[in-house]
Amino acid sequence: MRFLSGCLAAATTCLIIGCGAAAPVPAEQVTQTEAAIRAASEVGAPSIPKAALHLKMANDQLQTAKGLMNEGSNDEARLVLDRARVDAELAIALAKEATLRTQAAEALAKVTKLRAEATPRSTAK
Amino acid sequence: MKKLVLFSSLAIVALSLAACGAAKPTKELEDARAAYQDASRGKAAELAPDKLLSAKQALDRAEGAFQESPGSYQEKSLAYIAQRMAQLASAQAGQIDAQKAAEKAEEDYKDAQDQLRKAAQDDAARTAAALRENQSKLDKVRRDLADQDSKLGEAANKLKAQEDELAKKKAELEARQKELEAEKAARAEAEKKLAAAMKSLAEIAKIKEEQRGLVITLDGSVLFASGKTALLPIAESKLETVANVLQQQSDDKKIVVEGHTDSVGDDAKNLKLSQDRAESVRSFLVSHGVKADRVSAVGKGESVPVADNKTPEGRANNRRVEIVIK
Repeated sequence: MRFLSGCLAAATTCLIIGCGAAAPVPAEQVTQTEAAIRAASEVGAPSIPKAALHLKMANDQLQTAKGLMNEGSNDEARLVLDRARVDAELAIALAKEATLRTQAAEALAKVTKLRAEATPRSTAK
Repeated sequence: MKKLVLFSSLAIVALSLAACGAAKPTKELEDARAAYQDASRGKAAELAPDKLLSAKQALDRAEGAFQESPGSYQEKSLAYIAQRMAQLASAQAGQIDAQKAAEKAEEDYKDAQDQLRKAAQDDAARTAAALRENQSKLDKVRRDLADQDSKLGEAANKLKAQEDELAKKKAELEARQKELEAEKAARAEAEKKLAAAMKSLAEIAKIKEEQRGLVITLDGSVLFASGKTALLPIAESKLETVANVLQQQSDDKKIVVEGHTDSVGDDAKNLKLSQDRAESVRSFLVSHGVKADRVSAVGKGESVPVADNKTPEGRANNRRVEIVIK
């Protein structure tokens, strides 16, 4: 009876995490996620609200994953790391987008200003 | 046994939940679908197709998990990832969009700068052209002014010359007028003198205007003694008056002194006597200022009587000296 229930529990676990009896430590994923988080900070994510939100999610999930890894739940940690990484990458993309949009707006403002300067001169005569 | 029942019932609940969940996806999956819809309707299809494809594949995986075990952690987790990937595709498209906008703005900026530069150059060219035109107008005005100046100078010179000429003519005219006035005065003086002389002459002689000229007739008895040719002393004062008159007259008038006798005596003797007497009168006149070449003497004898020789008065009248001024 105990054995059966144990078997079922194992099967359920297998179903949930998608197999891997002796799952290895996802060290490379951790490295990649940490690198992505660093990159997000470097491109200015902390100062851009939307990007900062996802950066925080990435950080939180990295910590969660590390906790799971300490507990030996490497497979679960791997799933959490996937999410952490995609959040970090989204933070990078959002930060870059915001920066580029700011730059584009500045460039546009420059054009508008130049045209405004040019206009009175051509009409003044 | 109790546990088995519990577990079995849990499994049934789970299954029924899953059956129910087939119709109702997790919130994560709904969010992922919405995010993907956003991305595919936005610019991601055009600007970030590979990312959009990755998002689609992630969504498909989440959908697969939802089909296999609805409401599972797997579904939620994959949906979570799919949602971020869809957002990432949108952000990626946004980056490219912003980059393009920035590039376009920079191009526009350059174009505007070029336009400004060109406008400034055109302005400068127009200004320069206007300046050149003004300069050439100014040059023309200066040339015209110089022309006018020289013309004015010429005109002034002409005017000066004309004024000089006029002044000269005026001076000449004034001089001529003075001369004329002087002449007139002289002539008036001469006429006055002549008139006075003629008046005194008229007292001592007959004066008559004839066809041959002005004839001054002097009585023979006052000039000469009978038969003589020498002038009587009394004659000289009379002849001085005559000489005075003759001097007053212009030089071109010829003077003829004619001697006349009466018919008494020999013709030849009378002619000779009249000739000599005329010559005496001429000599006196010449010695008293009458020019010698003007005056000639001629004897007419008894050939030109003016009165009857039969009476003593007639003969006295015929004895005479006539001075003819032609």
